[in-house]
Parts: sequence; structure tokens; C-alpha cells
Amino acid sequence: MNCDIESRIKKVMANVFGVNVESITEDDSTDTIEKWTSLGHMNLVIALEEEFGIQFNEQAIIELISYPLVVYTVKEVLETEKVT
Amino acid sequence: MNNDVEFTRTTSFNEMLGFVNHIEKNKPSFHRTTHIHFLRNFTIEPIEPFLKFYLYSAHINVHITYSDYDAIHTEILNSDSTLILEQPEFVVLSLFYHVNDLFSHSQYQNLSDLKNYVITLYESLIEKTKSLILINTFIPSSHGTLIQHSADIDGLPAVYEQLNYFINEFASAHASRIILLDWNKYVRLLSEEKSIDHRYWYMNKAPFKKEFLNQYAVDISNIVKLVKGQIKKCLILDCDNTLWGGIIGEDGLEKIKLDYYEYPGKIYYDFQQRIINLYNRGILIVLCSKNNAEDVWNVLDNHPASLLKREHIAAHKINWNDKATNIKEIAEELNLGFDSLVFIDDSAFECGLVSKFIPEITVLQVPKELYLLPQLLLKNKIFESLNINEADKKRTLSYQQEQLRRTSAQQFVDIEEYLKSLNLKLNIHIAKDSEFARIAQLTQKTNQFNLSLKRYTEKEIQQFSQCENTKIFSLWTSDKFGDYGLTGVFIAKNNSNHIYIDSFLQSCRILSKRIEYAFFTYCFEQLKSAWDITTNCYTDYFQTQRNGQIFQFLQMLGFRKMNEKDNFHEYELNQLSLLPNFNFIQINEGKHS
Repeated sequence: MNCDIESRIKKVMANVFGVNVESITEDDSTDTIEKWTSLGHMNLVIALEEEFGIQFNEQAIIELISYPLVVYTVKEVLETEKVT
Repeated sequence: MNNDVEFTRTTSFNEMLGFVNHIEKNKPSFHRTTHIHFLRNFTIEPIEPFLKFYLYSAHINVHITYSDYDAIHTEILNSDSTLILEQPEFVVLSLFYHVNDLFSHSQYQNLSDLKNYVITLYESLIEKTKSLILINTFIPSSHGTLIQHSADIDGLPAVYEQLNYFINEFASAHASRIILLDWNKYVRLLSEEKSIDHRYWYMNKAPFKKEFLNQYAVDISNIVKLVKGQIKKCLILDCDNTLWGGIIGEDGLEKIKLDYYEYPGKIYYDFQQRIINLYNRGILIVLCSKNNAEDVWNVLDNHPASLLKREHIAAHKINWNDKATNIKEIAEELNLGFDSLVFIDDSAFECGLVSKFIPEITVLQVPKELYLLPQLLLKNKIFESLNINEADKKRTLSYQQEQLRRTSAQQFVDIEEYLKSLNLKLNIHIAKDSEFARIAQLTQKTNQFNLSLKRYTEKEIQQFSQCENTKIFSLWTSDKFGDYGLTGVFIAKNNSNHIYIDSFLQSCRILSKRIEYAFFTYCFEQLKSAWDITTNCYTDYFQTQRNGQIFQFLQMLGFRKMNEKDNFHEYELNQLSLLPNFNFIQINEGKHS
């Protein structure tokens, strides 16, 4: 299940940043991916929200700056939405 | 992937991004390219994937640029800005005022200040650019106060309405340069909640949600498509359960559902009304039905509620052959490219078959929710056009005559004998003011026999006509079957004692009759003597999949290729070759009566 979330995130990121799914690793962040600019970031948020049917709050949006943080934040939002 | 049926409703943002990436990686050669420049006071960049998605799907390459934030005035005033220097084909002026900013901004104390501001902006854009300018309406907050206080802008949606009304008036008065896109229409369609993103507004100055951006991109790309000449010319219709409910061959004239009052017949009646409107605008109406022909004609001739009559039909294939083959034959008969055709059928099988074998065609299926049928074409923005003129209306008549001509073509073995018997008459003269609209339209619509594929507006044609070293010839054609109207254009420039052929095109209605040789030779001789040039002549042939006939034509005339870059081929003419005989064509000069 978790693994599924990660592969979905990778697929979204690949689409948004125009890179190969396989090339995305734990080390990737706004520093390593060329198209992860402020605009790329906005597209990432829109694409993730669509993929998982969720909505990030402002704090979460600001934290989405590396692949591990994206995974962490998406899971967190999904957990919270399950509880409520 | 280029099938309209699959694209219409459910493409997600992720799928759009995937498609755009795919296109940009593989770089297919679209022969249409455009430049859209955004002048904006907020972050509009997130619209880019949507816009690219719709334009790439229509095989149009797009270059998108943005002004700096709130730098609209500097762009207009600086002669080296993108706006002035590059003269983008489209300028999208996107102005958004969040309720809190509208009048708190020191520049505008009240409504009339703001009115003056936007109008000055529009006017200077009209003056300083040649672009088509897309502007927008302003969105009032739907969370206004219950009681309206004159001091509180939240409580005054009427202020926005006044402003929008005023902008609308301005846009209608400048319709050739300005197009108004109604942002409030998107909000009505989507609700405010799905339109405005207050979160992103405060974080990134990006006020719109993806659903809103999608609508905005649909409108912008539809306008681009209209201007870039992806114009639909012909509507091909199935009959049973498309033009009426039920099956005429089984139910008979009395039992099919077609009625000007009762459900569900009224739905088909309204749909037929829309088809008649298209007919009146010059769209060719064609029937393609698996049926006995006499049954179908019986409905058109005798059903009291059938608005569609025999005389509306430009061509028909009512038989039991497969529809893809039928449509291919129709396209050939009417001399139309597949991408100018629209096909409507109720059967998923037929829709699938046709779009599989003819991917360029636009296929629409009769909706399962039948009440949506009358809006089908409007909703998909098919057959919209920026301008209608008289020649369009005559077109069906002219195509019906073409069918007559084809029937007689079969009786002749020798093509020259046949052409002689047509009594072809040409009238060639320097283009007149009254012809500029039609000439611009021809440059925009003609894809097959078009040398340079340069698309011009009426205004540009007018400017050419005032230019001393430029000549525009118009060609009128008629034969024993009827009048084809203004069907050919030749634009030439005197470039330091060389004849440069800027444009040479003929409507597909008059091809393969050797008219092109007569038209070219005549204009060429006129230019030589007017400008005192011997034979030095050159041109740029813009090669596409559809204008291959031009290549043969240039070779026949004796043009030789000098240079080649991408799809541009520079050709030069030193000596006109001996051409096929065309002395049976009668040429008149001067005013067409």
C-alpha cells in the first residue's frame, strides 16, 4: 500500500518535471531537479492534489521541497483525512 | 492520441502533463506555430500545461512568453520589449483584482478611474501592436455583504457589473482586434469554490484553480485554432437516431420521433435547427447513413417536422458500405481535407470505426443524455468562426454544381476535351477594397493549393494594397455550370528588381482545371511589364503534407530549388517552362460584374 503511494508520487513527479520515473531517488529535491522551480512546485501541488484527491494546507505546501518530504507529507495528509 | 472523442471530457491534469512532456520530447513537426504573450498582473504561468495540451492536440506548436509582473506599461512603452519587438500573434491581457486590492490600490480611487485605466491600456495595445488581443472580465466576490454599503466593495457586485458591461461595449466596438473572454462564465460553470484559490493567491499571487485555468485555456486555444485556420467546413451526419429518433426503415414516416413540440421529437427538431443555422453560415451538410436512400429522402421531402430538406444536402452516401470508406469518398468528391470534416453518429461502433481509419476527422457521438444533443456542436466549439462573409453562403450551391460537373467528367475520355467544354472564364484584376475580407479568408482557409501558407488578416491585406511595391491580384472564376466567385489570390512584391511571390493560392473548388497556369502566367506577365523586370523571380514554398500539389506546380513552371531550411524551400525562376495548353480558358481583365 505504502509502496503504491510512493510509485504514484514518482509517476506524478515524472510528469510534472519531465523526467523518467526510474531516475527519481531519495536524494532528489528542489536542488537536484532542474524543473523544480517555484512554478514547477505549483504544478506539483496541483498534480498531487488531483492524484490523491487531497488538499494541502499552506504549511504542507511550503514543506514539499524534496522527494522524501513529499512522500511523508502526502502520507500524513492521507492519514489525517482517514481519521476525520 | 489525436482523436477528439477521447479528449473531450475526462483528461486529468496529470494526463495533460504527460501528453505535453511526450510531445516536447519527441518534437513532431507541426506546420502551424504561434506565439502567445501574456501581459498580466498576477501569476498566470500555471495555465501553460493546459494551453500546450489543447494546442499540441490540435497540432499547433506554441511559444508562450510572459511580461514581468505589473510591467504592462513598460512593455507597451519600451520599443525593445517582447511585446513590441517580437509582435506576438496573440496578446493575452490577464488582469485580476482581488477584492481587497481593487480600490485600495492608490491608482484608482473609484470606478471611473479604473475604467479609464483599462481603456487606455486596450487602446494603446491596439495602437502599438498588430496582435489579436484577448482581454477578460472582472469577477465580483459572491460573498458580498447582505446589505449593500456604498463604502464596502464586497457589497457592490454592481460595480463589477458596470465595469464588465463597459468592457464588453468596448470589445464589441473593436471586434477585429479585441476578443473578450468572460471569466464570470467560468465561475458560473464551475462555482466560485472551484475557481478561486485564496490559498495560492496569498502564497504565490496565483488566484486560479486548475478547473478555471482549464476553461481559460480552452477559450484561448479555440481562438488560436480559429485564427490558425483549423476551420471545419463540412458536417457529415448519420440519419437514424441522429436526425430523428427511431429507424425510418422499420418505424416508417409516421412513427419516427421528430416533432416541433413533443418530447423526444423536439430534441431532434432543435438539433436540425442548429444544422440549418450552420447551413446558412456556409457549412456543407452531408448525409452518411446505412439505409435505403428513398426512405431517407422521404423524411427530408415529406416529414412535416423535418427542417432539413433535400436542398440543404451538399453530398450524400446512403448505402450499406462501411462509413470510413464512404467518408473518404465524400472528402474526395468535395475536395476537402479530413481535418475539415466533422462526423456525428449515434453508434459507438461507427464513431470508433471512422476515427480509427480517419484519425484527422472530428468525431462526435450523439450523447446518451439525449437532451444534450442540440448543444453538442456549440459545447464543443465546433464550426465557430471569427468572420462570416457572403461567399460562404454560396458554397453549398457551388459544391452541388461540382457534383454535376463530375458526372459529366465521366463522359469524356480526353481531359482537354472536357476542360474545353466547360467554357472556363477567368476574371483577373488588382484586388479591390470590397474583396479584402474574402482574400484574407482565403489565405486563412486554403491549405491544399497554397504556396507559402501565409495567413493574413483583412487589415494586413489592406496595408499591402497601399504599398507601392506590392501587388495583389484576385481571380474570379466561372464556367458553364455556374459562378465560383473569388477563388484565387496572387500577392507579389518588387524586391530590388526581383519579383518575390509572397502568396499564390487557389480555392480547392477550381483545382485540376489548368486554371493555375493561366492565372500564374497572366499575373506574371503583368508584373514583368509593370515593374520592368525580365524574369528574375523567386519564392518561398512552405511544404506541408497537404500542399504537395504546389511542388509539382513549381516544377512544371520551371522553378528550381535554391535553398532548404526545415519546411521552407526557396525556389527561383529563370525561364518559364512550356506549360500544358490552357488557351481554351478565357481571361478577362478589370472589374468583375
